[in-house]
Amino acid sequence: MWPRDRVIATLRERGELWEPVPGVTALRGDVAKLSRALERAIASLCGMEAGDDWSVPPAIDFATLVRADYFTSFPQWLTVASHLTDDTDALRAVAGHNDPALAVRGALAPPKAVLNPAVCYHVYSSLAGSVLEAPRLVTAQAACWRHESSHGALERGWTFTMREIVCLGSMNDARAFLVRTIDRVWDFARTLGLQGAIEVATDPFFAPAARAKQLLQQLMELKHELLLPIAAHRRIAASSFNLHGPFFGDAFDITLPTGEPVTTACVAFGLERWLLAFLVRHGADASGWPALPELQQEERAHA
Amino acid sequence: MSAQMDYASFVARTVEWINRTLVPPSVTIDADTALFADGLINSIRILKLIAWTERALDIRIPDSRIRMDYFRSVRQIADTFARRGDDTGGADVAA
Repeated sequence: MWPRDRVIATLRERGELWEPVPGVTALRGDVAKLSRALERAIASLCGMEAGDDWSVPPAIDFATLVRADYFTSFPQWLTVASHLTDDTDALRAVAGHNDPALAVRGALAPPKAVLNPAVCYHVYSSLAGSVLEAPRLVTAQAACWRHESSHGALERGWTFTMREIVCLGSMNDARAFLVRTIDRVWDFARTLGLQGAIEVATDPFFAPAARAKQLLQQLMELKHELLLPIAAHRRIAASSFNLHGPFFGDAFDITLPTGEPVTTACVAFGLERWLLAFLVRHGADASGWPALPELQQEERAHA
Repeated sequence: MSAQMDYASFVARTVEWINRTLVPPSVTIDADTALFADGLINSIRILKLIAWTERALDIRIPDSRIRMDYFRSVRQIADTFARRGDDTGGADVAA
């Protein structure tokens, strides 16, 4: 095992990893190729479950997150998209300022969009108001943004790449989806030589309702995480498996033919974390990397 | 409540309290009703249930013990945390 800090230091020394902004990580060289290969392998894994691969935009509207009750759950993570004001005088002041990077702070327009905090909100938003005649399985990948008090390259980025599979259907559909997917992800990790553990987890909800939400999540075992080692006594959650019950079905008025709200579940992959776990297991030198698995899409459970 | 309840009292009084304060008027639970099925108890109500249990039994339940194995029903809560009359009971009670 190469501990995480040694992996990162090695990649930095080689110039294959750098951060133009804290929490925003760039890659090049062999590790960038490996990252792309892992991305394809995980997309292929998700394709076994969900043939409907969406291309979602990098930002989402405020109204969708309000509808999803995001602001009471995770406001601490939010990162918004703004632009400079249309006011000509303000733009002239920025252009003529001896420190434009400082001057823009006083010339920003109110934000109109939120940089994706997760992928699945796009799915609920786009299916709002619909009746699902059959279970729906969607996969999508996007850059996501979560502001946290500290960042670590490949481990905890301000921005990172997330692929999700979202299941909408009955409670039985959602539970069966999670059981299938946990098995698939577990097997996939093993083919990469990664040995971890799947454990019950909770989300870091924002106070004051944090404890209540976390305890219910823990008690109902609504969230599981695949934890992979990145040092002798450190693990990271590389994937999560989440059962939401009828929450998003209710919030977005997505129903079954019976009129009941759909149950939703999602499985998320933090691609940089999978990359890090792989590098910790196999080292930072490409010569030590095993070939990535070829996944067969004809195993797909649902079109 | 001030004195610690025994097992039978805890079951009876907790069922009565939940029916009176936690669940909708159209719902009646008994000692074996699955408390967390169908959204019967939500995230706010779970805190009330924990607080009630702690006060009734004069114990503190750490968050790590808030698991379905222990909270599935009133009887399960009692089996886990309440003192039975014929033994020292409450083996899972956290100090």
